[in-house]
Amino acid sequence: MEKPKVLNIHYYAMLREKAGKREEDIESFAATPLELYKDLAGEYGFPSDSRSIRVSINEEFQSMDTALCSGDCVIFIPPVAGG
Amino acid sequence: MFTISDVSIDTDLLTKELINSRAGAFVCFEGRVRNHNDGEEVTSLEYEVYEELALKEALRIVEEAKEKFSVLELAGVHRQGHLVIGDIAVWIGVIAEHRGSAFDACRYMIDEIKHRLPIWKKEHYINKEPKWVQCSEHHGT
Repeated sequence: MEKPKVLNIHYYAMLREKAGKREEDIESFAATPLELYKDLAGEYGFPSDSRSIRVSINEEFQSMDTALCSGDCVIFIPPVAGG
Repeated sequence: MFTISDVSIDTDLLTKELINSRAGAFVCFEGRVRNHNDGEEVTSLEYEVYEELALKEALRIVEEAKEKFSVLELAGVHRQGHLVIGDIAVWIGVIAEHRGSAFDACRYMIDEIKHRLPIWKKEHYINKEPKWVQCSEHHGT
């Protein structure tokens, strides 16, 4: 039987405000960041359109289709606005 | 060199560090907090930065600029925290033998920084709730 992955999630900017927290450890069966984002969007009311969301896994940009592993640090990156 | 700063950017100090006797050109860009955006009167800005990834990505941009343009050295700083009108939000400095490559590298640096670094900006207004804003060319969407 498949075990859930333990993931460390950090939130920034509008996602931090919607989640009401900066960080949490969760157990998830999500196979990819895209699946994880959809789960979190449902829970916290994040934007449902994930096309403008990028993801960092363990401090590197990755595809939303990357396979998640237990212990990963996942950070979703909403549209940026530096400068 | 690229850093994220919690305090005001000391442009004199940064400029003094960009010294090379082969350099005939120094070009810098200062991004300042302005008092309006999209027809709204802005009172201040909050910058939030995912610092670890922002620094990694900024160093990649610096290396790209060095490969693309004939420059001697590049430096940059981006602020985080709450800034008021007139504050410098971002500073880029480039030295090169000639002005053309210094201008080109400076333009490349600021354009890429705006589009690629995980930095977010919340605008505060006089008579409206603050709002997170986004770069219109974000992620190519």
